[in-house]
Amino acid sequence: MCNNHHHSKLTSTNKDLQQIEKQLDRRHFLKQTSLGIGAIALGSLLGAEKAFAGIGKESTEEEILKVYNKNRLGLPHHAPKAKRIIYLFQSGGPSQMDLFDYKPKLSDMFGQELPPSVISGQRLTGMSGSQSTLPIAPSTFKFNQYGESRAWVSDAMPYLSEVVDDLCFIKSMQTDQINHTPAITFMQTGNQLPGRPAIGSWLSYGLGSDNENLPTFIALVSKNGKGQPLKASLWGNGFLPTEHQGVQFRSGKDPVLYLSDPENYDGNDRRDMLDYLKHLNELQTDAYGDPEIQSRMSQYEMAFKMQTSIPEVTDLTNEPEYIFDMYGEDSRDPGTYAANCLMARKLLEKGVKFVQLYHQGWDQHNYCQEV
Amino acid sequence: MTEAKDIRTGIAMTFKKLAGRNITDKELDVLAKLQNEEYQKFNKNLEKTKGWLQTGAFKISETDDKASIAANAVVASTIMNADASITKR
Repeated sequence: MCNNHHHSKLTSTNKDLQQIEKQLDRRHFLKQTSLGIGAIALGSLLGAEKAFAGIGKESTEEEILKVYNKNRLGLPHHAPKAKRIIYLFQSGGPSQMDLFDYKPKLSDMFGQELPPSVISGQRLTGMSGSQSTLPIAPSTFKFNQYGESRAWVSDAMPYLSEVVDDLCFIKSMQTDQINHTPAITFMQTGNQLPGRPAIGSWLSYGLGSDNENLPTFIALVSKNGKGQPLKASLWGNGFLPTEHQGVQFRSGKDPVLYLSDPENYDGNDRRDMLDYLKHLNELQTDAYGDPEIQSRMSQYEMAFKMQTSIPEVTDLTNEPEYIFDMYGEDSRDPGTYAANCLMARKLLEKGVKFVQLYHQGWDQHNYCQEV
Repeated sequence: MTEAKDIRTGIAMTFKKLAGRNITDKELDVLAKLQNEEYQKFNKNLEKTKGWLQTGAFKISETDDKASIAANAVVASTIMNADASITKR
C-alpha cells in the first residue's frame, strides 16, 4: 500500500504521529462520502418523522449535512423517542426489597441461613465478610399494590406509590460489584475501574449539542452531601475528547468555577486574548498534531460562551411561583436536591441533552425505618 | 517579564519557565503582538487593569507602569493556559 499517497500535507515530523494523521485523513474521506450519500436518504426519512429540528422535506442536501455533521458520529441510526434526559442518581440507594421489589418469601424464611444457591461463590462485602452466620431477614416495611398496574410499593415511598402507572420498574438488574465506588463507577461508565467515559459523555460524543452556548452534559451535585463520596470521574469523559466531559455546576455565586473575568476586563477583552491563545495552540497543533489540543481549545470557547449563558440559565428570579410550588420550598435554596431538579428542568428547556443529578446520603444499612 | 531588558526577552523567559522549553519565533511573534495590543488597550483605559492588578500576592506601587504590568499578566495567563504549558511533549 502506498503510504504517501494523498498525504502531501502532513503537519508532524514525528513518524508515529504521521501514521495517525494518515489514518485520520482516510477516515475523514470515508466519513464525508458515506455520510453524504446516507444523509440524503436519512433526510427524507427524518423529514417525515420530524425527529430532528432543522431537517424538513424542503431541506437542501447542504442543510441536511449541516444537521447531520453536528456531532462526531452523524445522526443516530434510528429516530429516538427520548430527546433529553434527566438522570437522578441517589448515591447509596436503599435496597430494592425495601422499596418496590416485594419478597414475601423472606418473611417465611426469616432467620434461616442464606442458601448456597443464593451465595453461590459470590464475594462478601467488607461489612458482612466477618459474620459467622448469614441469616435471612425480610423487609421491615409494609407493601401494598397501587395503580392500574398493581405495582408493589412499600410504605417507605408514600408519594411515589401514587404515580406508579407512570413509572417503569426494572427488576432484572444484577451486578458483581459489591462495594460503593466500583459499583457507582460501573453504573456510570460500564466498567468498575475508572477511565471509561460516563454515559453522558457518550451521548455528547454521539449526538452532539442542541445549544452551542451550553455543554451537552451537565452534572449537578447536591450541596452538603454526606455519606459515600462522589468523584469527578463519574462524569468524566474517559478516553473520549475532553470537551465531552460533564461540566459540574455548583450552588452559590459562581455555578461554574473559573468563568469570571478580572474586574473591568470584559467579554471583548477576553475574546481578544482567546484569539491569541487559539493562534498559539494552532502552532502547537502544527508541531505535534495532537487532536486533544483542538479539544482543549473548544473547551475554552465553551467557557467563553458560558460566561453569558450560565448567569442567564441559573437566574431563577423570573421563575413563576407555581413552578416553585411544584418543586417544593427547598427549590428556592440553591444547591439543594429540589433546586437542582428545577435547574435541570431549566437546562433542558435551553436544549441541554443530558443533566445528571447526584444526591448523597442514601446509603442504608440499619435503622431503615427511622432514616 | 517586567525585569527583562526588553519585552521579547521577557516573554521568552516567562515562556521557558512555564512551558519548560524554548519559545519558537512564531510563538514569540504571537505573544509580543498580544502584549503590545493589551498594553495599548490598558494604556487608553487604566480602569481595565483593575482586576488584573488586584489579583496576586504582590501589591503594585503607584509608580509602577500599570498598563505594562497588566499586559504582561495577560501574556503570562495566556502562556499558562496554552497547551505548551499544560502538556509537556
